[in-house]
Amino acid sequence: MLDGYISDLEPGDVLRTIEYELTDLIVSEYAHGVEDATEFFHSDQTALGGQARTPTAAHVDKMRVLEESCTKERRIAGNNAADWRIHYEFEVENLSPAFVGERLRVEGRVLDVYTKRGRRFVHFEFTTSTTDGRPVSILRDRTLLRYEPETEGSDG
Amino acid sequence: MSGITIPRYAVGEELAGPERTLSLQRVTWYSMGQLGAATGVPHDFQDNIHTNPEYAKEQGLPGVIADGMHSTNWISALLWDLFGIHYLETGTLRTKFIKPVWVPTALTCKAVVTAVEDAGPGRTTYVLDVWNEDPDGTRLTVGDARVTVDEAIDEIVRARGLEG
Amino acid sequence: MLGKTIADLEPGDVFVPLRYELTSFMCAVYAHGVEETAECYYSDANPYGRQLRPPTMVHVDKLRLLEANCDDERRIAGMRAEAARIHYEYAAVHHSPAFVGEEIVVTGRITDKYVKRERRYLAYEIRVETASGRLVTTYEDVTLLDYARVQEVSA
Repeated sequence: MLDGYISDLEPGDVLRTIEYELTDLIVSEYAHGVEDATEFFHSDQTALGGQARTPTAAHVDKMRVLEESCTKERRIAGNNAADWRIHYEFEVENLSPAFVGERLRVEGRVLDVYTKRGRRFVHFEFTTSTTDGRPVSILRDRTLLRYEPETEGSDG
Repeated sequence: MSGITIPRYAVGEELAGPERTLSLQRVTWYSMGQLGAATGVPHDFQDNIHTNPEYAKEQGLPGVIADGMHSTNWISALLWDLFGIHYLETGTLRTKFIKPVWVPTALTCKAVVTAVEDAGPGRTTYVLDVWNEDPDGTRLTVGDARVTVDEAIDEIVRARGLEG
Repeated sequence: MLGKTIADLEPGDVFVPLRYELTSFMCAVYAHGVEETAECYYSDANPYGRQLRPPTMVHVDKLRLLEANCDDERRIAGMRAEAARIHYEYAAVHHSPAFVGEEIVVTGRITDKYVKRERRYLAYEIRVETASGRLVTTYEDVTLLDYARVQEVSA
């Protein structure tokens, strides 16, 4: 269910598609924030011929989509949920670099919501492409909805 | 503790760092870093000739100019890459900001060994010219550096770590 | 003359010394601001076993001294004077690293003030030690008081 919290999402939910222009500030701030000094991410003075975003930046696309789809939670704006979410698994398949100046489109969906060892998880998939159709990345992500101690045995 | 590297260079050897563009983003990061270091608390970047084109023009500059210390820091980072802890223990660095670094400009920091001096038992002093240059090879910041490499550096560092 | 703007400083002026504790944040945020990745500036995971500051942070000591001594031009606080100052020369001699947790003592004075090629310059000498007396850095600095040429200033 959209327009609630991340914890309200259900398997099969199709999240809102977002589009945005990839700017040099977006790209370099993220690289700088993780101390990645690779010049590809900071300027266009590179063999690629353009300033490219880091391969891990697909995670920010997830954040943007959730911001628009879980409107009661809005974590970029400051988080209104009672529970803090814990990122459990990041799996990205990079299909082509995304360059500064390109317009990106991100689609997302909820693959599954399940409980394992007493913990509740959401499994997402986010697909990023340029607006002219070039695939950029596919991110599959698992997030723990709330920290709980693990429990043994079968799950309800 | 594993041994700290003892670097060795020859007179005439030229060494370079990566080419990096000194962009407006980088200028803002320096401003935040400088203010954070000066006050001990996080800061947003300051509005000055390094970040504000209108104010820069009011001051008679054609545009935003990078802080000279940004170049000094990148040259200092090159000396760290070349000499490591020896640079922290004994280094001298002088830089002159002879030409403005307009934002953005691609810069490469370079050093050339101009002398290798005997500084006593197990000690060698390297004297270098240092500079950064733009893609046309124009030098914007120039200077010199001296670093004494000491083969007893492991003991020196061990003693430092035990002080205080 | 102390207490006013940087342009009012005169040769022979001695700065009121300052002291501060070097914190982990100060070292890391300065290093991060120039994309310096050497781990010794971020943590104690280095051969010293103690986090230390980038040697170029002596320049921040100069800013601190000016902030404490030039009441009409507190630039860290965001004040602007009649002109933006332009750094011309940095010359530092490093005698020992400064470590996180140490109390740093900064002293300094103005050594010269002159006009060269129609531009006004101010020269400084700064000394950085730990409170226990260990010399960290000796530093000389030349700053252009304004980008404008002298006759433009006086016009």
